[in-house]
Amino acid sequence: MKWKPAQSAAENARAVLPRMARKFFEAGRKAIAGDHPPDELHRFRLRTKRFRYTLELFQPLYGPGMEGYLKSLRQLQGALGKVSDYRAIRRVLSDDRELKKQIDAAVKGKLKDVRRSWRAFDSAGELKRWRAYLGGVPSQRATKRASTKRTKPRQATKKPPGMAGPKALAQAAG
Amino acid sequence: MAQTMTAQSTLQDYAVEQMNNLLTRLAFQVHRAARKPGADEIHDLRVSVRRFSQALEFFGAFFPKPEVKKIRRMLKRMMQLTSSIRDRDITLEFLKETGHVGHRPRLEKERSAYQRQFSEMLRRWSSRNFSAKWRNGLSLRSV
Repeated sequence: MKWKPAQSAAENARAVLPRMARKFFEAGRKAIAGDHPPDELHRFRLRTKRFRYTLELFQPLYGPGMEGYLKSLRQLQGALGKVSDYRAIRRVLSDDRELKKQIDAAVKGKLKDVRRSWRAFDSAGELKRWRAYLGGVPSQRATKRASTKRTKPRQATKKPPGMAGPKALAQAAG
Repeated sequence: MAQTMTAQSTLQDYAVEQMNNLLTRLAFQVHRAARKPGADEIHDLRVSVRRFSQALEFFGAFFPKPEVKKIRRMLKRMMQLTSSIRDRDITLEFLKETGHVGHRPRLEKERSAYQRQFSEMLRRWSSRNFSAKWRNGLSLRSV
C-alpha cells in the first residue's frame, strides 16, 4: 500500500479508498459474469471480506454515513458465503453421492442469489456513488474514544458517538 | 486511558489506534473460544483474526517487518486449524436442518480431534501471553 505519511489519515483514506472501490467493482464484474469458476468466486468472496474490513478500519473517520455502504457489502458477502458454505459441506461429505446431488442443486440456487445480490450492488451509478463518497472529506470533528478497557472491546460495527453525517461531510468538503 | 483521534491524526497514529482496538478484540475472542470452543465462538474468533490480519497487511508499513511476518504466520496457522472445525460445524448444521443423521458420529469425532488441537494451540498462545507480546512487538502502546 502506497501511503503518504506526511498527510493525515483522512487524506490518505480519501486517496486510497476510491481506487480500491473501483478495483473491487471490476473484480466483481469479472468474477460474477460467466460460469462462476469456484476458485474465482472464492477469491472474490475473500476480496469482499478484505474490502469490508478495510472500510471498517476507516469508518470512524467517515461516520455513520458509511453504514449504508457496509450494509450492501454485507448482503453481497452473505450471498457469497452461502455458496462457500455449500461447497464446504460438499467437501466434507464427498463420499455421499446422494447428498452431493442435493448439495449441487442447492449451490445452483445460491449462485442465482449471488447474481441477484451483485446486480443490486452494482446497479446503475453505484460505483460512481461509492467513489464520490469515499473520496469525500471525512469528518474533521474529533472522535472521542471511550475507554480502551481490554476485557470489553467495542463492536467493530458499532457507530462511534458524535460522528458527522453526510451533510456535515459535504459541508466540510465546502 | 482515553484517547482522542481526529481526521487530522497522522496515518501512523491512526493505524496504531486501530491495531490496538483490533488486538484487544482478538484477545477477547481467543479467551472466549478457549473457555467454550462452540460453533459461534470459533466463528467470531475467525472473524477477529481476519480483521486483525487485514489491518496488519494494510498498515504493515508502519510496523516492524519481522514481527508482522511472525504474527501473520501464527494467524495463518490459527485460520487453517479453525477452518477444519468450521467446515464440520457448517456440515453438522446442514445435516441437522435436512434431517440426515448418518454422518453425524464421524463428523463429531473429527471435530473433537480438531478441537483438541485447537485447544492446545490456544493454551500455547495464552501461556506465552500473545497479546502483550504482539502489542510490545508492534509498539502499539507508543501513541
